[in-house]
Amino acid sequence: MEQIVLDNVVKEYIVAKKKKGMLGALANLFHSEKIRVEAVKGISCRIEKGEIVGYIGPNGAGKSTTIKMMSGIMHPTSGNILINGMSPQKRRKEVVKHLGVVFGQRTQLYWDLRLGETFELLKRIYRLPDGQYNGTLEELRAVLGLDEFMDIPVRQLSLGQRMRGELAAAMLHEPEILFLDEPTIGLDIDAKQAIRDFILEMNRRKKTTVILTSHDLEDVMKLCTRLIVINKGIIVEDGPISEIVSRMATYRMLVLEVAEPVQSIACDKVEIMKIEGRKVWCKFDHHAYTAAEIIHALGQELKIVDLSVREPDVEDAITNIYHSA
Amino acid sequence: MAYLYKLKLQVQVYLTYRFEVFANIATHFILILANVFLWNCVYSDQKDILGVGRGQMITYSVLSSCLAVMYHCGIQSSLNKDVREGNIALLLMKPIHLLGAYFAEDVGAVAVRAVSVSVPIFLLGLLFLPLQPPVLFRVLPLVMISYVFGFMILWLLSALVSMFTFVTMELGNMGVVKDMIVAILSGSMIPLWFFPDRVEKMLMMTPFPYTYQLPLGLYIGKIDIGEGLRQIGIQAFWMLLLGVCVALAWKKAKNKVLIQGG
Repeated sequence: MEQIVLDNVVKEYIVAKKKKGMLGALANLFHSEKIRVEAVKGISCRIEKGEIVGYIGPNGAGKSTTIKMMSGIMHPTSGNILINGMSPQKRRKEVVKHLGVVFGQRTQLYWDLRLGETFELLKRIYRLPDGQYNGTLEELRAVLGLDEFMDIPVRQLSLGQRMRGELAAAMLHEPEILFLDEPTIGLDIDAKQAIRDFILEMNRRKKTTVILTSHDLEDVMKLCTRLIVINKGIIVEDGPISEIVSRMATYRMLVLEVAEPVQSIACDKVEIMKIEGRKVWCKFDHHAYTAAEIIHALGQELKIVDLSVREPDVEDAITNIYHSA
Repeated sequence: MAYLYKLKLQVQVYLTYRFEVFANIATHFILILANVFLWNCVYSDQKDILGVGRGQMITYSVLSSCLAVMYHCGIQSSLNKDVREGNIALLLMKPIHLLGAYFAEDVGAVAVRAVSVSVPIFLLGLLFLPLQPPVLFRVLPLVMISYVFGFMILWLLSALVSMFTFVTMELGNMGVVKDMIVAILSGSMIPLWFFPDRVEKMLMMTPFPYTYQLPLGLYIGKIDIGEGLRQIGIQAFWMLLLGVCVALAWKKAKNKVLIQGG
């Protein structure tokens, strides 16, 4: 079932352009020039129930604008959005009942009170029956290990604990769709892992659709099967993560350690990236040549002591996409 | 009910800052003392000014402080803060009426402030100051009603002002200006009957005197029951008018977020 449908969605902002300096500041009090900015320029995509989609792009690409439009708190200038077959603009309250959100940079927990109080409030906001609430909470407590800090005021929690709390708060009403915006920002490796495990677990158990935006590409690699890359308001890539990586990262990196320092290499099958004393970094097109061919060719002119070949990864693929767009 | 629970949570939040409660009582009491000194000075060679005696006036000013504590409109700062920091997006993603949520929080804050600050101040006043009981115990229900209506008027005004900021986004917090206007024009510091007649008449056409002067005037007997009922009617009118304005402004403000994005 197609759970999220975006059709040619455009979002324009009117931004006030500020004049510079003291005089400018005074002038701004009375009049400021308005300029039109297109944050999202016609994006279309379809997301199925139960998918975990990495929605990534550089800062200012239009990621959070899209998420805000999908959750109904912002209206597109043109185009259509359907969540569960409903327009989030026309039926916001109904749509948001089935959404869970975590913004890594914001909190929805009551800062001064024990964590449990926020859950009690959410229970009432979403009108959850006792049975369902207790069941879900029990499950979340077990998976996220909430018991050790349920009764501690939120302001005293560590960032890792707080994020676990945020996730629990977002999942308490068992939403069908979960928007995660940088859920692991600032966390240590263990905490990141705990969050990732939780997301996978919820997706497996409840078929929760997850839209994840993150600059941490490890999050994306470990969680997502599908990648949507947005840049400058346009979707530039949309497909299975492995496909994008192999298509975009056509080069492999070869790191050589040679017996004597070299200045240049005659072999035209590789492109020299960097030479540092006896270490040489070069890349080659792995569709054109095999690694063995390259090593053989290089071996003819260099005395190779040691070598390693680096696999392409998401990071390379994405850097490539960002720069090519 | 989500709103009731929000109210309860606000009480809890307030109680976590116990020190603030005591500091609040102390600062208010000092302010009240200063006021009492001032009025003592004004009344030094007169028993009665415009039909109001010294004891009545001191009662008026002490109760005015108690009232100020209970006229707490947190929406003014919280709405602003939520818009500025972008939390408004998260709040709008909940199936709950945002204004209702702010209102519930403020009612919670008022309840706890009434019990923890206003009542102690009143008791301290009874002990140390020439505070008088109400002229007629029959007016107490009217005092209560006019307090509740007065709170509604102030709350709606605050909501309106904060939404105004929300729509323009660039004016900074207009709430401070509003607070000053209310402080001077509502009779909270100096009752309006001390103002020149024409000014007083003009001010009676604004909503401000119906927030402080009406409940306080009723209590000390400056406003009789008939006049009090009439003015409560005017309060109701202002409540309705401001309510409509808030509803319209809210629609506009929400659209602004929806279209411009917080």
